[in-house]
Amino acid sequence: MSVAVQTLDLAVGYKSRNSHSVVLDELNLSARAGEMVCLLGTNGTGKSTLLRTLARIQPALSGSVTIDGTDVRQLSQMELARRVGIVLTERATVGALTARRIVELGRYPYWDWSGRMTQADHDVVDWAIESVGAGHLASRDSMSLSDGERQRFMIARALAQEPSILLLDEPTAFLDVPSRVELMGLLRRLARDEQLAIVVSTHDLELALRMADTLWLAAGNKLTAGIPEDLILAGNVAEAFQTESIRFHPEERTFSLVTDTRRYAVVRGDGLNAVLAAAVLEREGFQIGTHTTDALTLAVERGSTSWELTTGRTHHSGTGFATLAELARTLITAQPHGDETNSPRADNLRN
Amino acid sequence: MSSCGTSRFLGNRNVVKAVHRLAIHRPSHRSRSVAKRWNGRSRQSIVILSMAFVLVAMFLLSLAVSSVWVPLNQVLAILTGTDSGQSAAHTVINEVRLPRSLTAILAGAALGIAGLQMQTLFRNPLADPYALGIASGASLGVALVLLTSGAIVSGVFASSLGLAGDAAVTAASIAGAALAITVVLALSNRVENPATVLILGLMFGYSAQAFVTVLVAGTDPDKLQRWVAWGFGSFSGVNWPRMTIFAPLVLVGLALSAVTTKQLNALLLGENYASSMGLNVRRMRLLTMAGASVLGGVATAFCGPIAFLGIAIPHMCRGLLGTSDHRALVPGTILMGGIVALTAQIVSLIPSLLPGNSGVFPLNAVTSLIGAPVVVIVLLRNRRGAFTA
Repeated sequence: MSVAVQTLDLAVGYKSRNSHSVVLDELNLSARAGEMVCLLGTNGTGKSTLLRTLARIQPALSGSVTIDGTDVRQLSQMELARRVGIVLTERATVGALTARRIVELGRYPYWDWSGRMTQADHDVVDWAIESVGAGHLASRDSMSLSDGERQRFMIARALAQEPSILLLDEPTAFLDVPSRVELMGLLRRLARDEQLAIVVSTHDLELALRMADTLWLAAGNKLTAGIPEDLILAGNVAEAFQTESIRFHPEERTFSLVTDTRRYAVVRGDGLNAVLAAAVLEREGFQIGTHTTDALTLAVERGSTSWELTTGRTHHSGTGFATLAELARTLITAQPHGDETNSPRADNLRN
Repeated sequence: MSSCGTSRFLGNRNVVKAVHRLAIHRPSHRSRSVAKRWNGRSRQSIVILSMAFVLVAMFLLSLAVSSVWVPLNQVLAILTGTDSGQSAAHTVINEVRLPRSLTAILAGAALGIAGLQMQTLFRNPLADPYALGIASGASLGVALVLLTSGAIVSGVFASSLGLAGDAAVTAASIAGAALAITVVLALSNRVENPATVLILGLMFGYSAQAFVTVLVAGTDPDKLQRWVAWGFGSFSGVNWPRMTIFAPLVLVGLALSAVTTKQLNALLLGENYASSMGLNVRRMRLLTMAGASVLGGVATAFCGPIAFLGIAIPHMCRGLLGTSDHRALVPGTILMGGIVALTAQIVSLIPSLLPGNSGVFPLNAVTSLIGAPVVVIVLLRNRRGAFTA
């Protein structure tokens, strides 16, 4: 696969009159045709700055960006528009304009002076709208579309530029969860089918870890690139996002809140009900484990929401997660003043 | 299908795309979308044709109606040159009403287009030459020349310096307008909120008005009266010699908007998107600002600071044409500008048609009465307008 975009010792950031503020430097990155790259990093790590520099919206502080083998600084604005399409976070809401017309604007770099749409232009627009699966919405006013639908048309508009690289800055920011998953799936398919290099910045970490071919992980002033599993194994993902209160679980590729209580719970039973019951306890502050010495025990019947909870010598039982959550809450809050027999130390002394 | 084989697809990097594209094109799909496109365009063509008819009708009516009614067939005879050329009506129409009506059409179109350009450039439905201080800047320029030149003011606005004086006033007016738009645009780059930009424009307007007030305070009563009359607004100040300055400048400004419709369309999505699609935003911004300054400045110099036409006309066109597409909006705004200005002109004559001939309504009052409701409607149904803040 050919390299669509490549950076050489690139440094990005902001230039003011007498100082450079470097956000990311020593960037030697590449994205190949057909590859979806997810750009991850917490706020302020320079994701947008990097994308803006790749799209030449702002100049590089040093180093170079090469697209299809040509330094971007040597491209005219029209040539650049034929190689790079962008989709931004900002909601470009234009009323009284059909969704199709917005996609037609993507033909701008191919128009003659009058801006007349040729049959070839119309063919490309038809293709772009079909590619994002939005043919049935094309004649609607763009204002009447949902955020997710409108974002699809913004992508179709970028596709109509027939770029070899597509840069998207947090395109899922305003979207609901199903639309986010759909949009990322769409981008992945576009990369494959159209042999596009796609670089998409996102805060949707878990989605990115599952769907990206390559991750660009920005943290500090550095950016680490690699396939998601390599970066998970090397601990880069945990390093970039883990804080005192957030912990990354490599096996499940998820994050969770760190709780400071030292209450443990063992959940017996299998099936979805047991998993969900464990989630209830976890949210209330229990750490789910397998050892039994100082833990309360929760037994869940398979296929029902009836549960039985044992703590020390006390037994509770009930039906439904709501009652379970209520009980867990009282057990957690009661702990500091509660009966000694429930505390781990008391348990240990007794044993 | 052969149309897919354009030269772009011959490049290596596009071969894969082209093949894929051919695979998904089915003739049925193509013909359906062609039909849909045609429907939207044909509605716009019909509306624009109707506007042209109405404009011609209003033009003839404006020549016929005044304190002395001239029958329409005589108006047509005079216009086509088949009239003898000796009647009083002939002189009145040729020397008074014809330049006045042409001025109305040109000024209406100029203000409408300047408003449209400002609304697109600032992505703000309430932008217009007036709100953004262009009119105030132009007034300041006019005041500087008119009130300080020492020349005896004659006619509605101009000095007795003749065409050179008119040219000086016009140049000062354009310069004032350009100053206003430059200041507001420079400041608008620092603020995100469109409402803040409008407030900046209003503040610039107040400052310019303050300077004008200082100038006016020191002037003699005779000049002051002329100044106040200029402020009422009028399409009657442009005689044939002045038309040789007024018309070409307006036509150049209108022509600029007509050849930049695709750039204006690209700007609908905001400057970042426009730039990413290949538009040189900086150059386009300068060009549009210059165009709007000339249109707003010239209209203000010759007709006074006419309120609300700039904001109202583009919105009326968006409503009638049902689109924000400048390919339809620019011709529509030019025609609609002429129609509304002629209507305002005729309405302002109402007192002179009544028994007792009590002069005319100030033009500015009439345009405000037409324009203010439009602005209110725009605010109320903002969600369906071109830009939603």
